[in-house]
Amino acid sequence: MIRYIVCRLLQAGVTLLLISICIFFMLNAAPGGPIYGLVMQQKLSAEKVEQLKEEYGLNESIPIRYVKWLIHVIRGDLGYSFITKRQVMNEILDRLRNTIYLMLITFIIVIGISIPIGATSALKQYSTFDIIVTNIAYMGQAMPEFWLGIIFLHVFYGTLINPLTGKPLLPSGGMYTLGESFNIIDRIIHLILPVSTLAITWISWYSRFLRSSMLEIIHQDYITTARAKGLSEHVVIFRHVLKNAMFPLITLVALDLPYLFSGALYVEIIFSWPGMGRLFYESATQRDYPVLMGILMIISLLFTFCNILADITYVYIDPRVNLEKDSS
Amino acid sequence: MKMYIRIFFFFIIIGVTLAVYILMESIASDIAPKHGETLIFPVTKEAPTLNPFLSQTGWEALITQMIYEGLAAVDPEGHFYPILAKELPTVENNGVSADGLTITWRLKEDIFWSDGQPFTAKDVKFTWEAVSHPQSLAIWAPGCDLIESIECPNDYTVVIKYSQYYPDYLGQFSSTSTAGQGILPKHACGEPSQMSRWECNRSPIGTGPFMLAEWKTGEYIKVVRNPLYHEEGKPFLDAIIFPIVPNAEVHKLMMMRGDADVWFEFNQQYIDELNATDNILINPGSEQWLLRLFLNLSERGAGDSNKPHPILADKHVRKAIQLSIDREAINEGVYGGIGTLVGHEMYHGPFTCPNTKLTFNPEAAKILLEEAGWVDTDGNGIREYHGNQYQKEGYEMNLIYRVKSGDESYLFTQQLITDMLLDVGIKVNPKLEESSTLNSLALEGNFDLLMWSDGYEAFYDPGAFLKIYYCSSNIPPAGWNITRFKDKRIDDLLLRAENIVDPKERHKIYCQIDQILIEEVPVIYLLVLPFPSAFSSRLHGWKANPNAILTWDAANWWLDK
Repeated sequence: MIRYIVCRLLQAGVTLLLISICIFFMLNAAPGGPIYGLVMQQKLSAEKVEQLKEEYGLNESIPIRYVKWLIHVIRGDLGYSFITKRQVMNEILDRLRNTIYLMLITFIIVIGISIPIGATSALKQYSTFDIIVTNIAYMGQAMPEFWLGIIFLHVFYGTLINPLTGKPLLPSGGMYTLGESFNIIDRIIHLILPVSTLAITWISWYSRFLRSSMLEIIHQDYITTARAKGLSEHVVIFRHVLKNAMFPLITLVALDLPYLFSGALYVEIIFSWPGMGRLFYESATQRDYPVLMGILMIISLLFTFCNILADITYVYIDPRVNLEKDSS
Repeated sequence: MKMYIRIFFFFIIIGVTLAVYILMESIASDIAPKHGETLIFPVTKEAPTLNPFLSQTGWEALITQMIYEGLAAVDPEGHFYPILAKELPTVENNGVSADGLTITWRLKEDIFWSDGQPFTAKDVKFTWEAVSHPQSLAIWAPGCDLIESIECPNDYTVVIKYSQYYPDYLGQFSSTSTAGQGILPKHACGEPSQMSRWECNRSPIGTGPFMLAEWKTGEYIKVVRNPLYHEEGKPFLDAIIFPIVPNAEVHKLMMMRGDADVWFEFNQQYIDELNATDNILINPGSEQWLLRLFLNLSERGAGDSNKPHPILADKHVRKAIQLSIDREAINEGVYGGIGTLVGHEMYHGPFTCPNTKLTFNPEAAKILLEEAGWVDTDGNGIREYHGNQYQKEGYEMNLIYRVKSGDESYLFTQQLITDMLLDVGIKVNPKLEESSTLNSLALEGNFDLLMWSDGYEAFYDPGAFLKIYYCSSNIPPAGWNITRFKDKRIDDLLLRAENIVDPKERHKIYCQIDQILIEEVPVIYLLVLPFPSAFSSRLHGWKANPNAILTWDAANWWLDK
């Protein structure tokens, strides 16, 4: 196991290096650039443009800039934002905790709802419950997040009123009510709309996935054997069917874990959530290369790490899996 | 009996007098500014910094305009007035030397920074040193390269020596333009070369009515009343919070619900809905920028301004394109009629020249094109060249038309113009480009038609603006003459204007330049568009100012309780 983990980590290092080269070259080779983003507003002279390019290090060739960037990263320095002039790490950390807060709560709710729904749907295949849930799931998958978010906003903020306070039923956005001290109820109320918008699509996917996975297993011979041996239905479902049906779902969850950190752009924009998605979008439109590189490398690192984590988790769940034998 | 009647009328008179007094007091208290309250002012984008010289997105200017002040400012009528200076420098008060090269500012002596330190002449000199330092990364420092030296003979006198006459000396250290600059505190910032890394970029210290209280990245910026502000009794508001609300639909709902008090420069598509809401007042906005179509006079993408454009180098073709565009239809169809049709460059401020009425006449356009050798002989609706001037026989009239992506009104305008040009036999290939890519393509000359809004500040001398866009020495890569327009008459006129002190004489020269541009048509002028803003009916004291950003008079704002 240790040897396997070490091998995977070394592979991950090489993968990340290749990813960083691709991203860096693609970003810097794109037409325009951070200076041209500033230039129009000021109609800077050619000398000023050259001066700014020198200050930002943009007058050197792309390979040399990459090497300098890499050396700084190895020393733990992601550089300074071209736009805000702050350290990239500070820019990211300011938003990262907000994203983790939103996405972690969403994830927990998604897992907590989609597993019972998917399992029940599979066990009561073609029942009224299954039909209703299936149709809702199709609708959930079809509806784009940005559209759903706007609809929720119009209904719960723009139209409905809280009969006790006379104010909108739910807030328009943000993480809390400005100017008020910390209040857990206020925080929960501000989470309702963004979490609902994100969760609906995810729950649709996960519940359908688990349903399909369980239906495959429920008709297997060993399940029939387990029932024939006299095991209770409860034991058959939870210890045999659900446990085995979870493997593909674990892969899906592991691949989605990086979203905990990368955020959800549309939801963050609609609900004014100060997260990583918005930071990425703002940096991309302003050609803030250091921040973009920082975000993309962190997401790549997490993606790689989550893949390794998923593989290791398999070993503990499925005793048939022998990673060392497979990797050798 | 008569006595009782007299007593009765006496009490009636007393009663009426009392009632009138109480009524008048009530009205007076209704219209008198009220202290207190917090204003909610959502913004679409977060200010990248609160140093107005490092960034010019406009979002930082909304806030820095309230924190920093300049030596002077401009009122809505376009007149300068002193803020940190005692008086405006003039020849009469020995503030301006006879040759115009030495300007002396006398400063007020009772001004303090929000941390209690006194404001002095050294702060003005420091500001110049910082913004003109080559390593400061300052991007907004107009005219600073023309300053030879700044001396401070005492704490409240600033003597600025220029290498040549600079007509915008009043605006140079002022909080005037929509960029809202101001004076920086020497004691609270740092070395000029390190300006991009100063603490005061995130924690500014100013002399303005408000000071920064909190900045939660990505969430909001909060400013509170500056207790050391030099105008007694002001500002009236306790605080202003700027939450970051990126989505326009959310903004609209917040205004309609009363959760926001101001919406700065929203898209015209929301005007009707907001107008229909009781608690909202609309300021239609001041006309600032002129939407214009640049015509590339040199061959697209050739990188050589000496190679004429195969289609647009011919003035008759440019005039034909101008005649083919129905600007009224664009104004009505895209902008709801709120734009003003303008046919020339010198369109506002004290240097306005007589407006040229541009006509929409596609038939006249077709005649011009045919006379220039462009005829559709194969019946496909697109003209080809049959002549011997700029390119080969049969060359098809096909143009690439680039605009910035992300703006629906630009997209619709582009579509309308594309159709209008097709009606006269010119095929146009419309393209949307991301902002910095568009700038890059403009400088490379990789376009035939290119559209954006721009204009000179109304109260600034337009000489610098005209030079940037029309002087042949500013053809890229040297500058921004992206049409690659070369006209010796304009070069000579601009050179003459630089050495004339009398604004009336400069005005005459600018009008001559304006006339040449109308004849030569390197740019087709479309519309001047205002940017409407919305205010809650609870908010009072604001006044529209086309020469400054919205928060220019935030010290006078107050809210009903």
